[in-house]
Amino acid sequence: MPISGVVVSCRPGREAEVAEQARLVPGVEVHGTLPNGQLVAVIEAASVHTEVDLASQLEQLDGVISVQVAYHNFEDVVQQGGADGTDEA
Amino acid sequence: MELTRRDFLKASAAAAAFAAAGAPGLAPRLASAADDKGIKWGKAPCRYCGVGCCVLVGVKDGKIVATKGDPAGPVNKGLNCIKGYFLSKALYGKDRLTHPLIRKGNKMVKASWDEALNLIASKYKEAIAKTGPDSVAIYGSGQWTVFEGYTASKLFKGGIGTNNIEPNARLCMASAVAGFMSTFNSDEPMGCYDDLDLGDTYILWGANMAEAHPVLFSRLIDNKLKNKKVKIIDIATRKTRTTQMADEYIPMYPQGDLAAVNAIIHVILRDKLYDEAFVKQHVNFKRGTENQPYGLKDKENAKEEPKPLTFDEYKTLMKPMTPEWAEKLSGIPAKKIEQLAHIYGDKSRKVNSLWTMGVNQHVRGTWVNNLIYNIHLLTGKICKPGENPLSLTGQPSACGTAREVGTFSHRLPADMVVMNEAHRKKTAEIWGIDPKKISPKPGLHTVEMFRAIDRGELKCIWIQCTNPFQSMPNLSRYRKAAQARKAFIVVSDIYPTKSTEVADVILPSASWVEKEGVFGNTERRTQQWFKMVEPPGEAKEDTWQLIEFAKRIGHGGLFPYSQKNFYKEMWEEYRKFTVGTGKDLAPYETYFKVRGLRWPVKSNGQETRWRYTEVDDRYVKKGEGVKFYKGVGGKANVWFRPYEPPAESPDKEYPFWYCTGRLLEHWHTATMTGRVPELRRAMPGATLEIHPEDAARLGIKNRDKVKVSSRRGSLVLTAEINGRGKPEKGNVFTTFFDETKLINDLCIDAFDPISKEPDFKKCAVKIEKA
Repeated sequence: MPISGVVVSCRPGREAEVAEQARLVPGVEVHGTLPNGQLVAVIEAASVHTEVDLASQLEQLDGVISVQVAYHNFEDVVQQGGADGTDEA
Repeated sequence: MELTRRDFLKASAAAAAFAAAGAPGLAPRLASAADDKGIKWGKAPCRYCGVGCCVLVGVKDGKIVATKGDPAGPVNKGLNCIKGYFLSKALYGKDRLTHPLIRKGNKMVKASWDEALNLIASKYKEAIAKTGPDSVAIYGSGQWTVFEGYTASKLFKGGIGTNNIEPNARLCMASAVAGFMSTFNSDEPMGCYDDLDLGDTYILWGANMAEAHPVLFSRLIDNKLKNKKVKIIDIATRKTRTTQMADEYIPMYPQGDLAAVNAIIHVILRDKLYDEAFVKQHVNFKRGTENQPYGLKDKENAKEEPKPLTFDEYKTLMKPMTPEWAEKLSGIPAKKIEQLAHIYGDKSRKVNSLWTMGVNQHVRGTWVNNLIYNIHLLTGKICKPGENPLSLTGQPSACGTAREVGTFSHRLPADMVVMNEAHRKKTAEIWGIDPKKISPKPGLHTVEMFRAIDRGELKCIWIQCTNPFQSMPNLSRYRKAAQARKAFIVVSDIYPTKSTEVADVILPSASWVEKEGVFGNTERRTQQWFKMVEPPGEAKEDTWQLIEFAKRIGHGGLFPYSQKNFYKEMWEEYRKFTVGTGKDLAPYETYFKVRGLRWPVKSNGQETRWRYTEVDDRYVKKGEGVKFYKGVGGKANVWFRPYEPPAESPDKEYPFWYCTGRLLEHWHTATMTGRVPELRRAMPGATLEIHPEDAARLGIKNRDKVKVSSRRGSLVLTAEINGRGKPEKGNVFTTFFDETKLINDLCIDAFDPISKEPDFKKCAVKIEKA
């Protein structure tokens, strides 16, 4: 299962509200809210597919400016062979 | 509680994100113990765009298993955009090319490297013997590493004796190069990304930075959130994600930039907003050749014959370009133009201009580049920290390879050109060849190169690292020529593309960290990386492919580098071109640890953030302040460049403007991003964005199929109304990544007469319900 650590930038003053919303998204763990209005979240999903959908969901939350990725690990995905087992290029 | 590998990984993920967000102290304690277990990390610049983000690549058991934004990387400070998410996976698509293929009739059959290279060599030798060296060519890209571009250039210009070498960058930022060369006589920006953090006013000319340069846009937004004075003004023909974060959106007609910038200059001159002392000291005035053709006829050529002007003559010429005049041509209200001029001229504001394809892919793209520089030169808002014009680029080494190595048909390394005898002599000396070997005649530029295939004049072309049979404008002409087998076509790539489809030989390449390389980004930053994983199957790097070919046609001697120090030796040879020229690169080892250095690198090993200023550039003596030392008399040129219309404008039959571009999730022709299913899913195919009022008038609803036609072709796309991007009335927009919709069939192959860069942003189409 791939895991990523993301930084969610929020519009000023909206971070608490965004954090609350983000906590409701299954597969997303909010690890902290920073004084500069950013959130740190960890995304864990069954496939990179779902993981990206979750990141997109975060990006679409009201009050979010952007979602950026600090860390992405997909070691067990690779071990299954192929890109993520569903790559139909 | 027992801690699993997953707990450690999650802690690592959180720790990396906290660190990137500037709060490492909040990271979970587990992280430090977990991170490196079994994973070996190496640094590399991102494979995708011209921003040049620094990434860390994690390798385990010979495979890439993780990536990180590089916390030590000054470009992106530990964070990647969504394309970085998919970076390593782009190498692991199931249909990776793994062995050479040779055409036998309609089939491509497996071949050995020897067979493939011998065939290529025999075809090139035959063509050179029968029709001369100018009947063969190589077409590369801004994704070539410095080594690949340098090898290709040396082989073709110094060995085969033809200047028929081009990068796809001709389609992308040739106008930026021509703009820099004609204004400053030296390519690439005086400023750097630091200006995104230090300025307070950012004027975007037709650039959707939020999607095309997301990491840089984030830096801009960070600055804005910290500093209330920061203002972002988005001048464009389409509302985008960039618009959402801008303080002001100013809609503009296509080609309107030419009029609007001129009118801004008019007001700056009229209201004396210019910096008289700066102008006197640093600026020459010039007028170029006007009413040049659009290159629509084969072999149509233009010649720029500059004439000097005085400041007074220039002011007189600028008098008719009033805001009212520009309002008619640009759609920007005269009052707004006055305001923009006063923002540019406001001495209390640090003003930056930002632009990319909207300005460059333009039949008068060089002119618009010149005009933007004019504003900054007249107001003296240039070469100062936080206050500069910045031309953004699209490919990871458009600057490092295409521009600095000089893989254009007229260029040599370090801003030199084939037309100049002294430049050819210097090049020949470094290459150890007879200067007569380098032809003084520029080779075919990209559009003419592909036209020459159609005309039967170009017999052999080798394409590396790019996909012209999807990305050329007026595409069907060139696809038909290729399909008619008018030339022998070799394509080196990592996946099947629309270009491998028409190839006679397909060669499997190594990509990104499957080889050692150097890229140079938008802000003059040179970044090196080492090979981290093996390429799949028999795939080989492009440098190897070219040198093996060179050996077979008698030019192997051009590449005497040892196996052990291959890259170092080639680098040090290339570096000779740069030392003492103001484009100085550092010794190879210098780049092993640092996250890139911005040239000119000083003798003490320090980089240069701002060029042409005594603040930072060692080529400017203390007390000189600013000096455009590459220009005649140490000055830059302000060019008189009037308004001229586009090559094709909407009319009764074809009433809409057709504009093409790209989206956050896809890059170039999607040969790498299209392989990643997540990216395909987010934005599965090309759509046609249309204004809701235009759609209503034509009875088109969201997601309806519509037929789009130009004088060159037609295709069916899905209509998108009020989607992510919203074009202005009378405009439609689509993206060029989707290989099932060859949207460039519709584009006109008109180009800028100076830069020879085609205009992918403007032609006329009609829309019907399909």
